[in-house]
Amino acid sequence: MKIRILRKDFSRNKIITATLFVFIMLAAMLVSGAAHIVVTLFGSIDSLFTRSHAPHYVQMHAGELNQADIDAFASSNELVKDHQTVSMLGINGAYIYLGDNELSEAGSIVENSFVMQNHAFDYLLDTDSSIVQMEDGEIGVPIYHMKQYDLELGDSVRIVKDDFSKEFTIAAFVRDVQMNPSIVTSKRFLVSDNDWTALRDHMGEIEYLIEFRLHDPDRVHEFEAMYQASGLPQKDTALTYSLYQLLNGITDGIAAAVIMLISLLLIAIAALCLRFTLTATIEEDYREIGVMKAIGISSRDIRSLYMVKYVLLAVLASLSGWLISRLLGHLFTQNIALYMGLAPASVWNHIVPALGALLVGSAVVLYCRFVLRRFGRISAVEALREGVLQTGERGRQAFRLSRSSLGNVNLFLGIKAVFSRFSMYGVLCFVFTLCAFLMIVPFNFLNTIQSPDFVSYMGAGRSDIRIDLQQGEEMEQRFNQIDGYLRQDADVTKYASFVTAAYQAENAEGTYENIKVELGDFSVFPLQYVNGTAPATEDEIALSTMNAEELGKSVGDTLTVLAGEQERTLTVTGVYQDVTNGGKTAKGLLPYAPDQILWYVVNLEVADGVSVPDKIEEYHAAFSAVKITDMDDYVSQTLGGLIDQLSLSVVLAYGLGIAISILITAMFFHMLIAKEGAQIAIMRSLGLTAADLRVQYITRAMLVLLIGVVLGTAAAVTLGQGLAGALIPGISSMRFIIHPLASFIVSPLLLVAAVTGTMLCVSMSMNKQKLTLTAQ
Amino acid sequence: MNVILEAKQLNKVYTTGTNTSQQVLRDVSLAIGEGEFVSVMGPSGSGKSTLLYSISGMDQITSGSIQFDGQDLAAMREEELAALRLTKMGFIFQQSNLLKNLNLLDNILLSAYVAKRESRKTINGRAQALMDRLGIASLADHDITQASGGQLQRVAICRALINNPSILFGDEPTGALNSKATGEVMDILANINRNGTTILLVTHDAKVAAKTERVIFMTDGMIAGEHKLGKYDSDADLKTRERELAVWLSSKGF
Repeated sequence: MKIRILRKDFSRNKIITATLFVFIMLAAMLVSGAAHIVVTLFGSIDSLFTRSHAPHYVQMHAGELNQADIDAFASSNELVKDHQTVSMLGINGAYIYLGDNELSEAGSIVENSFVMQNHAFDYLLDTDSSIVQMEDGEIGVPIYHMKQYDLELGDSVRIVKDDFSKEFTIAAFVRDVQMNPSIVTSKRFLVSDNDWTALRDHMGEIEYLIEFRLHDPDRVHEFEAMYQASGLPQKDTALTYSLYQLLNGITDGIAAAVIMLISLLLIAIAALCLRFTLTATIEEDYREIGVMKAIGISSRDIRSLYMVKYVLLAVLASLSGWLISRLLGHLFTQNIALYMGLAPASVWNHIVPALGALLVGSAVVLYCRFVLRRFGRISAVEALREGVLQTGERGRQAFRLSRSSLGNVNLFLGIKAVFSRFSMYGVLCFVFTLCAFLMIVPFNFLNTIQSPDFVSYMGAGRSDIRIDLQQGEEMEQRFNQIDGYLRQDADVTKYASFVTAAYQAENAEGTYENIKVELGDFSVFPLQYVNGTAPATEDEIALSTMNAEELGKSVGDTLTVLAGEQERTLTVTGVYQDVTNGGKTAKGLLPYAPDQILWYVVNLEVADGVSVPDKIEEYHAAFSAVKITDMDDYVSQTLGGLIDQLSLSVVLAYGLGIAISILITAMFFHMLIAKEGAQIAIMRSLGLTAADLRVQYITRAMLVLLIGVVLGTAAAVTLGQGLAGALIPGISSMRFIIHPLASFIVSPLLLVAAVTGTMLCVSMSMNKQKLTLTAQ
Repeated sequence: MNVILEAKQLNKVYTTGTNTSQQVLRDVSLAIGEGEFVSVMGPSGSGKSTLLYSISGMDQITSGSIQFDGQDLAAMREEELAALRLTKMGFIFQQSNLLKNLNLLDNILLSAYVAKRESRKTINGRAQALMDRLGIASLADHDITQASGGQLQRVAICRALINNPSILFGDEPTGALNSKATGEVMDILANINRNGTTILLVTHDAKVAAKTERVIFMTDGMIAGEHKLGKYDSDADLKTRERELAVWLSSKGF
């Protein structure tokens, strides 16, 4: 009996069964793939951290230091297992030429440093995850640059400054546990000890990484407090083990989440098909089901007869999906393999992806059981007497043709059909909502981070040019020179200079921690605040959202800051968003001593008609060792990796959104038109043309699409906005900079065009339909 | 009497496989006069329904010609045929074939609203009058699940008449009804015919055919003969008509 039903079902629903199989298989493949990414990611991060002997606490420091003090602190601290101080030679991008590039790295926001291989821990690894040593004339280039410029082993890297020139051959691409991710803007190049010394003699600024490995990495926050209270060098950011883990995992973690989202969409589509085929099967076999019930077969047994096919389908499709994901496994983990290397596969690498596929299969079976619960409600007597299942349609009384003011009957019938059976159209609507969401969120996200206004999320107001002056000899003098030059420059309509200085602030635990405070006149290029306003007096301070969260402060609270020896109580006047400097910055008008200065930034605006690129060139010639950036490029340079990934995601999302819309529309209406064949024939016998019916079905599709697009767009600008903001540390509340034309017109129009085109093709089948009606 | 519908040398062949075909109509010719009430009888598979659907333009013929109201149906495009069905023809089927998601009144109104020949107010008034005449006015707001088979068939008749068609086609319109409801529906059709509407219906029930003016008998896709009963006026002469028809049908081997 089961085999007979199975054979009958397969033969009458060949296309639908095949489509269902493909959807379940793809969903299982993607869930399995995403699970594979997650397990691999954990393994790879773990392996990278183990092989490179990652530091647990790193204090960056620019300026003088006394190694003996650090050694004394480390040896007296029982938490410390090992420590070292790494000298990073920061070389201005203007002196670095990668591969065949004729242009230097002057325009890049990446801060390039040159280091020697460490001897104790924090090793730079090659692509085989081995500790790599450079010979003289060789260089190890970060993987980020390799990807960026398609560099190959044997290519050259030139360092040129004035009369000094040095050419290196790329001998390795290095994995760097601290600076691997594209979101980290500092990168380390590996050179031999001799070459490093030669470079240092001619250029660059030294920045130190004071690194510690602890006996127990879980006590890193305890150690952090100890270090910060020690008075040891701390003129820059401090970073911990957990932050490195987070930064290394974020890109692929997001990829896994996106893949999961896509598989969710596929499962929704599969659910839609399932519901349709099952409902149609029940309607077709209504009388037979009645007979089975009448002779005493229980609902459970009848259900199991029909379940066989779907259990079989779910098992085979999930198994195939899992097998394909095993075969394509390397594609899912390509990025991880490149940046971190693959760890030896553990048992979890096999179990978790298989569980993912099993989950998809189980979800399909459970959904079938849910839909087939209708068997319990079928009355044997009614089934035998009526022979036809009366589907419950709501809203029949709510929408009456006789009371409708809508002139076009076909539009009315289309609208009525949707509202009468919204539970059926709801799944279609949900898929359209997801498609709109899928298309709009990445686009708006990309548009937002590509917009020059995104600078407000980087803790700065909008200007034309930004000049960064980092640590170096006679920094203050060089700053004064810039200041004087700009003052005389008639092309500059306004400018504001800011100095960032190091202070200590009392945190929620009552201990002091380092805080970088930008000082200057914030009214020239005003910043958008999440809460409150910019500080206006010496007793006021504004905090980045991350700092405000960590210090447990909000607008109106007071914050105790150590400025030199003096303790000052400042009122928090505002909270702003900032993705730079690890998201932890502050703004104030505090006094500062020269040894507190970390760096200078000058923002300026040029008069209308003045060419920004020309001006940048002029300043490059006039000022030495500065980074000058066109603000339009600043954001894209800072978030370059993310922008590249997002650009690809936008194309994929649009393609996927439209493809899914076409597919789901075609399937849904193909099945619906077949199911409503009798009703269509009645209308045609009454004199309605195929064109009339086409209008009815297109109206249904458009109405559902419209609701879906409205919901999807609303979700995109609310949920999507929050989701996108959460992806970037330092942003508490992202407000999408919406491209109205693309978001509200082009995207919906693309969907409308895709759905209309599909509907026209699908509804062609109505032309061939016979009009002769002998029985309903 | 003017001829409203005339078919000449109709042939209809169904091709069921690559080499299998079945001829359902063979050189059928007939003429229906304006205001006539004609029934087509015959055994199952004789081609009655095919003839009805062919001469009403719902199904395509293989060869022959059909003239309706001076127009050649075979030469008309699908849209023109649809317009003809909408405005000049009415159909009643064995099942009521009402639209499931419309209530009874809306089912009646639909084709008139699509035709847009009159104001909705006028159409609503006529629908109301039709429902009154057929005794289903109180069911206007009911769903199709809330009415009996006989009531649904009356709704189907109202729907067929809403655009004041020149001709009404019925394919076993009483086939699914009990004898009481059959009698009522046939009385309604006879009344409609008396008011000038031409009716052509297919039936296998001699009692139904006895209320029509002329009976055409088909067998093996051909017209085997026809018998004129004259206009049906009252139940008084029904028995006589039924007997007369029975004799004639038995002469045809039915």
